[in-house]
Amino acid sequence: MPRVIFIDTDGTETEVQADVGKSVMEAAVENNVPGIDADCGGMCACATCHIIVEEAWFPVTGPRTDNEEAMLGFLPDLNERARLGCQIKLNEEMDGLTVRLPIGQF
Amino acid sequence: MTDRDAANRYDCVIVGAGHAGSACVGALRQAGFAGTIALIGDELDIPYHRPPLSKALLTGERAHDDLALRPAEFYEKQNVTLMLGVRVDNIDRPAKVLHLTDGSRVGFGDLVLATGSSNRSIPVKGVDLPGVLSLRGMEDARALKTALEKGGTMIIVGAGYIGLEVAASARKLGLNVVVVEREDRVLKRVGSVPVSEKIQAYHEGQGVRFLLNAEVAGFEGESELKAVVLKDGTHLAAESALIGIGAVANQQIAERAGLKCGNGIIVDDDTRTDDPHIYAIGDCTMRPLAALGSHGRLESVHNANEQAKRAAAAICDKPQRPVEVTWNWSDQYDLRIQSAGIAGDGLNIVVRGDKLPDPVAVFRLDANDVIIMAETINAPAEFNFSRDAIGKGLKLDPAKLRDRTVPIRECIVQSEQQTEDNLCRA
Repeated sequence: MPRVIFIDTDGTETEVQADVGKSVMEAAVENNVPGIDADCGGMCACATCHIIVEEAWFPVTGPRTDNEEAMLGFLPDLNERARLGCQIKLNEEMDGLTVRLPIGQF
Repeated sequence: MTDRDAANRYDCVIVGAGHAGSACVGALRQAGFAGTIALIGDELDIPYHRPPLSKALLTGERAHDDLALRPAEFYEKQNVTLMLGVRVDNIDRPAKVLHLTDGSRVGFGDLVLATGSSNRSIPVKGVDLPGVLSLRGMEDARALKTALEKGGTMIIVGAGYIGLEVAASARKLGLNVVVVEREDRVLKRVGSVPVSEKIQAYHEGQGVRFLLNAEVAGFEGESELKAVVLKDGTHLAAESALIGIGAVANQQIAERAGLKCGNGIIVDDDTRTDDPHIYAIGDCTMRPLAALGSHGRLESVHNANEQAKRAAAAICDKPQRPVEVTWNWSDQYDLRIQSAGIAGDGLNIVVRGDKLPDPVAVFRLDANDVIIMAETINAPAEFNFSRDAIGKGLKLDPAKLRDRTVPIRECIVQSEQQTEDNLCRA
């Protein structure tokens, strides 16, 4: 099972495990990781599972899609590696995936 | 309580295992609540996503097992006792004990009421006939799915979100659909006129027939529904009917316990009732709505989640986050309909975009062009921008908003005050 590491704004790291095929958002919700609201439950209707992929993992997850761009584009200082957690599906290659949480979901 | 009952006492008991109740479990643990928690629900399923009940579950795109909000192990990991398939009959406030309908008793330190809402019915003849349906929980969805599988004509009473979502699902499945609405337009309670018109036209393009300003007089049939009769005498032959005319708060146990209720259990911004140890969250509450300067009900997933977090913060004596801009969504055919904010009367309406399914956004601005509310269809950029802008009280340029070639972020009017605020924040 891939492990995902969430780094909070204060530097706290939370490591969780989730099945292949689950999303980063689901991995957070199932393990009650703070900082991921995931209001819409993965319907891509909100932007409350916003995360920033650590540089080393960015080639693995890839950049945000057009839809994610539309969802997050309102943020004036959007990080280049910002994604929606619900749109990253975990595979074996992502074991150890590390993402940072933004200052707040909006 | 006697010694025998002592084991049945929890530091926090949540009554109602829907979106709000489930979210409250997570929020309490995130806020550092270390005590014992029980979550009581009257359905047998573990808490599940309700939005798909009118859409993906009906069309078969998602299965029942796929709808859990959090997996069963979540409640174990969070050390929460789930009591499913039971109802609370009474709250004994002085003793801080709940009396359940199965005769058992559960003691509490703090109590969170997340009892949800129940569908309104129509007091007319034949409303209890098999084939006359409503939609709230999983059992309702199963019955509705069976009715849809029979095919034929479905009459939908009420052109709100539920009615229109089921209309879209029924058309996808090839049924003949007629929507009967008492008001003069669809989505009147929640939407602006341009949104109502565009959505109705889109449904008509998909083959749905609308009868507006029309009221149901009765449902006809011997052993099952055969026809819906309207007050003007119109007779609509039908295999099934769905009533979707809104919901009322489940506040009976709160009322019986003497808690202050209006159209919902009255709570403050901390979700506290007039009893300092009893909170209420989600559909069942009548909460402060700063935008309207009054209390009101918000029936949405976002409201359930937000109030769950606020209750947890209050119980754990943690600082509250600012009240969030409320939002909602609905999926119909290939339309993603979203709204952000709450609007009173007397606002200016600005429309961006024209024909669906291309992006459309309808903004409501006050006399100073400050954005108060937005409704968007297939326009995620406008939606998320608006939700943020409403929270910040941004002033927008109506002429730029109307012009879809102007990127949404360039529609902000940079007042001196706003520039100053941004500098302060930076």
